[in-house]
Amino acid sequence: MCSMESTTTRPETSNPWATLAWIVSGLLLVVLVVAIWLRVDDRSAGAAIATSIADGKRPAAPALPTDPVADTGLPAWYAANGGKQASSAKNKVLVVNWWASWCGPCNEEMPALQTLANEYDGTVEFVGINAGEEDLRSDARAFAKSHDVRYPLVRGDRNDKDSWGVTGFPETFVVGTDGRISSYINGPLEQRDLRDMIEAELKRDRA
Amino acid sequence: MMRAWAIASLVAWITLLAATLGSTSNIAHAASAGDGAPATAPRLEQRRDEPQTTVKAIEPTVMCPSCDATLDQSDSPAAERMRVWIAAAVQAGWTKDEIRDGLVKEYDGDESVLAVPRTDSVGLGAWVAPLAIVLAIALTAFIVPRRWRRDAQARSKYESSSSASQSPPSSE
Repeated sequence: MCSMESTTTRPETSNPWATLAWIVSGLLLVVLVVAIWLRVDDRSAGAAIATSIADGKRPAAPALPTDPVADTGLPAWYAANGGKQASSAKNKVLVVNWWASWCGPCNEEMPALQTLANEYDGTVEFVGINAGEEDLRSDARAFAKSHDVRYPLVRGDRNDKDSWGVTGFPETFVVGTDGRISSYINGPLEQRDLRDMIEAELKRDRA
Repeated sequence: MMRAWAIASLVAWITLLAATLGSTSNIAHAASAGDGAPATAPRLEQRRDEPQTTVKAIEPTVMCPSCDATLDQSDSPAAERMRVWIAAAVQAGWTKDEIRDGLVKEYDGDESVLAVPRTDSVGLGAWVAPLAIVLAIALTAFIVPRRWRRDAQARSKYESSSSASQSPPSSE
């Protein structure tokens, strides 16, 4: 009886193991909170693109992936800058379209994109980024073939998707010669709308 | 008692931390179906004459990457395309392992497509880690408090020997 009391009334701090355990769990709690925050922050980096465009700002375009969908490889202008900067598309305005082969609207808007790519051949570059970790490679190839896409198509991974802030497909971005995103379309595009965006960017360039 | 809680919470935090850092979670997003998607089955190398497995057997062991669920739980357009690919591989006489490896390749080497981890050296960690966590918790719960009790008893013995008034009543 008495011996029990003598142990329970002992101050807790006298056990170095308990103190250590508390300190370590406290530290781990801090690390956990920071880790969660960093992961959330990683995602919101992409989401910030949409917000800052809505605010009328021009956020910097993230890097382009360099893994071609087809065996034919990538054009010289793309290979030359290693996709590092969307801005160095030979100092041209760039249209970046995110797609997946299983996505209906992506299939539907492909003819409009190819038409505009032909129309602006020499002035505007087009790139199609395929959601690499969500789309079978063989399907992506079949897509490129069936739509006869003549601009570069590349496989993006989850990091690319996060940095561009893409949450669904399709999404289309217009990048100026300064390497900054001027406008974007969240969802299926209208040929007319994209042409207006391109024209606005070309006009800004001439000014 | 407080010390046991301290250790328990320590173990819980380590587990949570490992889960947070290790998770390759991918926020699922709306995928719209459409009739424009390629309806063709992929052409795969014919490996054996007879099918070695079934689509149903593969489905619970792979993930639908854009829906964050196993394939048997998904009916999104992306899941549909996976089924078409698996059916083609089954027809071409591929084994279960060959199909799972083939899917990893199709998704650019992303192993998160495998719902049930691989059993070779690479995927072994995924099997061992949860067991290790359970073992660690069990050890903490049973061994550490016993050790403390022993220490506490040793201390109380020491104290009781130093002050005669606090000695336990004799068994006589």
